[in-house]
Amino acid sequence: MNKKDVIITGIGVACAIGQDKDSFWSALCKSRCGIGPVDLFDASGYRSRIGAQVRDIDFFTRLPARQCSRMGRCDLLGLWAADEALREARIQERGLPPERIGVVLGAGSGGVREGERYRRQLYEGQVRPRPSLLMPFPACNVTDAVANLHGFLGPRSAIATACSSSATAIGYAANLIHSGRADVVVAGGAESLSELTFAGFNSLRSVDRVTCRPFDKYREGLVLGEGAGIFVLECQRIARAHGIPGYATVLGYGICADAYHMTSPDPQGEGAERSMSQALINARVPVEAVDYINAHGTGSPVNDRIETVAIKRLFGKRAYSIPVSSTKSAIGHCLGAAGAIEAAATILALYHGVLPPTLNLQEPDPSCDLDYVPNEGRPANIQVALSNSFAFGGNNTTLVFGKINPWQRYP
Amino acid sequence: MATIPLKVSGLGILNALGVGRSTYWQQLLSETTAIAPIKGFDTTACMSNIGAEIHHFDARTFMPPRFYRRLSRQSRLAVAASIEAIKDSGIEISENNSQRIGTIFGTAFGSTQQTDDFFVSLLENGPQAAEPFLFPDTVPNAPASHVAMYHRLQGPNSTFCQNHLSGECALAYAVSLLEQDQADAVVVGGADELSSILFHSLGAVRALKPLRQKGPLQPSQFPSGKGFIPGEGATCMVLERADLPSKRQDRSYGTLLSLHLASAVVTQGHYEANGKALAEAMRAALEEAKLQASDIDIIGLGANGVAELENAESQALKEVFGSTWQQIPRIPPRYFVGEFGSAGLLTAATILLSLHEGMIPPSIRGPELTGAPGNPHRFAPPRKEALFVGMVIGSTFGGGNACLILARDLST
Repeated sequence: MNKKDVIITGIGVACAIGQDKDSFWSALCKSRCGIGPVDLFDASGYRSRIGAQVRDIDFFTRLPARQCSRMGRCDLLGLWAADEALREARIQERGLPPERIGVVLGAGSGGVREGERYRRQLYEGQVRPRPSLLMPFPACNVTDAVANLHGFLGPRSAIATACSSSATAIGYAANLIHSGRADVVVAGGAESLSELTFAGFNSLRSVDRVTCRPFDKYREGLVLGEGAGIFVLECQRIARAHGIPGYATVLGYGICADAYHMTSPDPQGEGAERSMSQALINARVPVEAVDYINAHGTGSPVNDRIETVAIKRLFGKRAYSIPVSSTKSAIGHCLGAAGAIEAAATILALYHGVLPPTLNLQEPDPSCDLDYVPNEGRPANIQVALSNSFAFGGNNTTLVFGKINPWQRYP
Repeated sequence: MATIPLKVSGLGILNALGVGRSTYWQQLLSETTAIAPIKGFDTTACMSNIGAEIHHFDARTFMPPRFYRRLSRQSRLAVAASIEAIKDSGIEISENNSQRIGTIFGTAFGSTQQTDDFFVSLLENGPQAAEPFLFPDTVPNAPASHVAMYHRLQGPNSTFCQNHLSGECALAYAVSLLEQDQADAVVVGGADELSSILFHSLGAVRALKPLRQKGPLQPSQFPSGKGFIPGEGATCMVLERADLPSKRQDRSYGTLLSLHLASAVVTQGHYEANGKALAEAMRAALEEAKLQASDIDIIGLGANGVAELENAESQALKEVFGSTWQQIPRIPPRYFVGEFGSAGLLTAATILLSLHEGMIPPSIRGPELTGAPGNPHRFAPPRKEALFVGMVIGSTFGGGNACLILARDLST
């Protein structure tokens, strides 16, 4: 099967700047930043008190309350975005065999938010903790919830590799279609803010107290976010037969390990470089064809510098002419959902011909000297784009997306 | 059939029955159970007091203290199993091949103890003084990352969390990576730890078998009903392409002919009731392997004492094997070592050892899989027999099912 045969036919997004794909894209292009004070839990004692929280979302306007009563916030975010993606791809009305529809989702911490409420009650010993708070704890709960709610009977898997979880999920989904193990795969990831994760990154002092400002000289670290990005990936032949044009082609992906350190990236950027180069080999795309990179770009002093080094190592002098931007500057670091939401930004950039900006980039770091599309998006005719996700533990994944050529659309 | 030939060249096994592949195998053949009253933490307030704990694991015998000092117990088990598997396979990791060797792991919940320790440090010390060194190993991908770091494996690295099907899901992705030429070999593993907080939490959601014992629970007395008995352990296998030239003296425990994942629609926290999706996975795996049900010599079960699961397995076996299903030796490793996220990988390793050694471990006989107090399982004692093809089945609460077909490697 040709690598170009897997396309994206549905996109669902929920994050701090938008609760559907269109509002997310519109906010991104208008340089709206979703970062502000966190009030999902008491953040007043932390070094950094900000995050990119999803606000004012009424899950049950779209989701069935009875079936979702024991779901956690992460599950609900995932189900919300999946609902949009599946409606876009018209999955239910097309009568596809459910045995041929798989679900592969990434989740960083799953239902830790609910689990920590249980643990806190247990620790404080004042009230009998509610066991139902433990039901959403497994990281696969969102995968099971999406599959069970929509009746999909194909392969299902949950991936938990911190920040690269959902990018790897998209890559695995493409593999499942390439190998003929599924025709359609619902892939992506979901993540909710939790105090445990918030405390963890604060304890490591890897958070920014002001805002997320990737590649800026005064950046301090990441800002946590939450949300979900869910896609419908399918065999192009089937999509075309049903008149579904699709947004972009999944050309391939690269996955590798730094094997260096649990919390620090390889200082030479070798892992990040290999992730990108293997992605291009897997996609059978030459280095010269890359028009845009959606960076991992966390805003941490080390990561941004090393990602820049890695891009230069792979692309040489051409690195300076490839636009690179960080969506995290608008939506924070959504951990298990980060790769998927950023993939949505990359795909929509290809689809609309607009590069999303890196926000809060006021004074560039001299060691970060590429074109980061500072503060404002701009039109660009791009054909091939990369989306980088480099995780805690040295787990790297790079996705390669291509524009669907007009002649490839449904005639 | 997997589109390329795949073989398992190394095994590493650590669980409550034995620390090390040989010890586990010998203990299993001697029909020893590791399920007994828990000693590691207090269970007096719980509905159950039994589990399968590892008592004799000393990380120092596997790795230097500077490496394991800050690792969770789960990560230590994972690294130890990987050391045994890689040594067993004879694979030499160098700059020439490290980028083509992946590390794919499965775990149900990650290190629950480390996560709890970190959270309690936050509750006790406040936001400004939570213990930073405890945080890194709270992520479920920590074991796979430590394995990669220990061996300098720079190929694909990922972790699957699919409850009690995590090991099979990890194996399925490893197959996918090898098929798509994204790796030449993959260290596939699973690691899970039994902690006080996990045991308490499983009890709170009534997932534990409500049973209090004074001594070990013999497999023949393993009651089918509500809840499972938790265990812990790590299993690791080196899965590699069999079609690539190799200079080393090759060991092969067997080949992986096919692996199929299928889902059932279930209510949260439940297993599939009728075994339809599991039967579908079995049929698809047989078809992929170009085999008939009559070709199967031995079956590794997912049976864990939960009646809902065991009934589904029985129905799926009847549906796929017809009237012959009672004659096939059926091995339930979880009756000896308890249930955990990567127990399916242990079942696969057990079937590989059976094929390789031509030995059937203690197996369930009789018409029904399910036993109950007063209605004990009948176990056939271990026996020598030439075995050629084995099947491994597994299911988890939430709706996932898997079936894989393994064959003895006749060339070795």
